[in-house]
Amino acid sequence: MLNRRGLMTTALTIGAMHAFPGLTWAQARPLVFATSTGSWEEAHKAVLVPAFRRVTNNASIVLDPMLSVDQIAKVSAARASPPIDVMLHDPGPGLQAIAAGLVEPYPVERSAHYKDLIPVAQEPMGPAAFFQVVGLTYNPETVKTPPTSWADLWDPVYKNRVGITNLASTLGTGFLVEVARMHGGSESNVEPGFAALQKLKLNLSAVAANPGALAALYQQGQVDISPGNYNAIQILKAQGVPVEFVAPKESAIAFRTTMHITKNSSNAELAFKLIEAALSPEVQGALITSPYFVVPTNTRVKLAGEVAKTLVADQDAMRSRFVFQDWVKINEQRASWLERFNREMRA
Amino acid sequence: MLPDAAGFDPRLAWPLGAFLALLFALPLALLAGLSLQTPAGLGLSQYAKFLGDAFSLGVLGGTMRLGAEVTLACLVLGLPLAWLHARSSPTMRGLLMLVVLLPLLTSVVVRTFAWIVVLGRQDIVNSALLGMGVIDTPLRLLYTEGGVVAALTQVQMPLMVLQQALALGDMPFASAMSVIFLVAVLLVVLLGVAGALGLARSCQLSARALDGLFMAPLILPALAFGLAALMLFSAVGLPVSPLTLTLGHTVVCVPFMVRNTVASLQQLDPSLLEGSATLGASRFYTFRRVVLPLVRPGILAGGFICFMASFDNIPVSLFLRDAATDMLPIRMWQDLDVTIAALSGVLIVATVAAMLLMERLAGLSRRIT
Repeated sequence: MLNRRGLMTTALTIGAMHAFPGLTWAQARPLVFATSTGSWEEAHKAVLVPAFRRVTNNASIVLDPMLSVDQIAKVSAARASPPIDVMLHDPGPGLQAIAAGLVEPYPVERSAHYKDLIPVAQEPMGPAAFFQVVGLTYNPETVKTPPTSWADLWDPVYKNRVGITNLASTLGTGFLVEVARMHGGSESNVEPGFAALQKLKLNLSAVAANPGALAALYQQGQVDISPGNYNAIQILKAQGVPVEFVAPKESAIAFRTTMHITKNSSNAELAFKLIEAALSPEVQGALITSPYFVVPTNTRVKLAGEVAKTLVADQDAMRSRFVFQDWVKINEQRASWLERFNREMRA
Repeated sequence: MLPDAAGFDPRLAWPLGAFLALLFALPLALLAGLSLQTPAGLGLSQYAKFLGDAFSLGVLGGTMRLGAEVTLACLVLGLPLAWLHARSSPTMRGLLMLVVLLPLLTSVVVRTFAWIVVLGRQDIVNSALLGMGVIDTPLRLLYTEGGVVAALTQVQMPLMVLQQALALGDMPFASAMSVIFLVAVLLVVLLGVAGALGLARSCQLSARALDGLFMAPLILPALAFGLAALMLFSAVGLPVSPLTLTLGHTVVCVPFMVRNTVASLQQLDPSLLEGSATLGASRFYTFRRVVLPLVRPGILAGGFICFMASFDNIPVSLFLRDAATDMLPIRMWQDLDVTIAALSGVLIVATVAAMLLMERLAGLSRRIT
C-alpha cells in the first residue's frame, strides 16, 4: 500500500542513494571532456572516444558538451578541483584560457604526434586537433549563380536576403576581420570592416545570435546567403536543407580548435592520452570522412574525399587557400568591437 | 495576536534559515570577499576598475535602462489588465490569471526561441516597409512564416524526440533529470513548509529578517549565485555532483514555496486552531487534521511553481551539474536551432496541461501571490 510513511522512506532512500555516488566520486571520477555541442559531440562520441578507450584499457570518459565561455567560467570558479579535465576551444577563448592560467602546458616532449602537426596547430599550451573553415554559404534553390567572393554579399541582388552572426561568435568576429582585410584593413585596423558592414545593412535580413540560429534562418527561408562554417553546413545538408558551401576567392578563414589539459586536473595523464588520440593520424583520418568532414591538423593524414574536393587538396595548399587570423591581436580588441557592433548594427 | 497564537513554534523556521545561510549567504559572501582581493592585498581596486571602464559602465547602464524600460512597459500594459481582472467574473478572472501566468511558467528557452521567430518576421516586415514598393516580398515571407512554425512543430516532433533519445543517451539522462527536479522540489516542500509555519504568525523582527533571507534568492541573479556556490563547493572540496545540483536548485526555488504557504497560512482562521486545542487536540494533531488540509492547495500550488522554476533554471544548472548529468534546458539553450521548435511545442502543451490540472486541484490562479 502507498502510505505516507512508505513514501517518506522511499524519498529519503532515493535522496541518500543520490547523494552518495556524488560524494564517493570525489577521488576517482571519469575523465571529463568538454566538447562542443552539435556535430562535434557526435563525431567525438563515434570516433575519438572508442580510440581513447582502446589505448587506455577502457578508462571511463564522459563527454560534456559546453560552450567555451561556460567552460572558462566553470574552471575559473573551481580552480582547485576543476570539473573539466580536457577543454576544447576556438582560437579566441583558447588564448583567453591560457592567459588566465587555466591550462597545463602540453607535454610536448612525450607526444608522439605533436611534431607531425602543421606549424600553426603546434601550440605548446594545447595543440590544435582540428581546423574549422569559414566561407560563403548559400541556398542553391534561390541563388542560381554561386557566389565567388565575400564582396558578393553586398550585391544589390541580395537585398534583404543576407544573414550574418554577431561578434560573440568566432564566425562573426572572423568575418569582420576578413571584410576589413578585403578593404585594406587588418586585425589591428578593422575600421574598413565596420564601414563595410554599415553598407551591408541594406542587404541584411537578420543578425543571428550564433551560428546555430543562423542555420535556423536558412531552414525558415529567411536567409539565402551568408558567411558560414563548413562543418555546420554539412549537417544542414544532411538534414535535407538546400544549402551549399563555397570557399571565397579571397581564401577561406581557418580557425584552429585546440585541446587543453585543465590545470589541477585529477586526470591529467588520461587527459594527455585523449589529446594524443585526437592528434593521431588514425582518428583524424577517420574524422575527415563522411559524415564528419573535419579538416585534419596532422600532416600524415592524406586529404581525401569531399574535403580535398571542395576545400583544399593537400597540406601545402592550406597555406595559400586558408587564412589564419592573428587571434592574439583580435582578443585584445574583441570586447570593444562587440560593443560597437551591437550599437551600430542595432538599427 | 501573540506571536505563536496559532501554536506554531517560530523555531520551525530555523532549518531553512540555516540552510540558506550556509548555501546562499555564505557563497555570496565568498564572492564578495573575492571581489575585494587585489594583487596588493585587500582593496576596492576591482570595483574602481569596473566603474572606471567605459565599456563595463556601458554594459551596466544598458542593463539598467532595459530594466527600467521593461518596468515601465509592464506598468502600462499590466494596469489595465489588473483593472479588468478586478472587475471580471470569477471564471473570467481565473482564465485571465492563467493566461498571464503561462509565460511565467513556460520554459525560458522556449520563449526565447519563439521570440526569434516572431522578431525575425517583424524584422522583414519592417525592412520591406522601409524599402517600399516591393510588394511580393513581404507577402511571400508572411505566407511561409505563418506555416513554418506549425509545420516544423508537427513534422519534426517525432524526429526530434527520437533524435534526442538517441543523441542524449538513453535512460540515465531522463532519470537523472527527473530525480534531480523531484528531489529539489521535495526538499523545497519540506523546508519551505516548516519555514512558513515558523513565519506566518510572527511579527517579530527576527521573523522579518528571516523572511528577507527566504525571499532573497528570488531577487538576486541566479547566475551570480550559481558561480558563488560552485566556488564554495570547490573550496570545501565537494565536487560537482547531483547533490550540489539539487542543493543549488533548492536555494533558488524555496522562495516560491515559502510565499505560497505563508499566504495560505495567513488566510487560516486562528479560531479554528483555538477550537481544536480547546477540544483537546495536541499541536501535531491539529496540524495534521486542521492546518494541513486547509493549506494543502497552497502547498500544491507552491510545489508546482517550484517544479517549473527548477525545470527552467539554467544558470544554476550550468555551474552545479556534473558532466554525467545531462539537462534538457541546457541542451536546448546550447543547441538553439530549429529542432527546438518541436520540443518547445511539447513543453508548452505539457505546461498548459499541468497548469489546468493544478487549477483543478489547487485553484492555482487564486493561489499565486
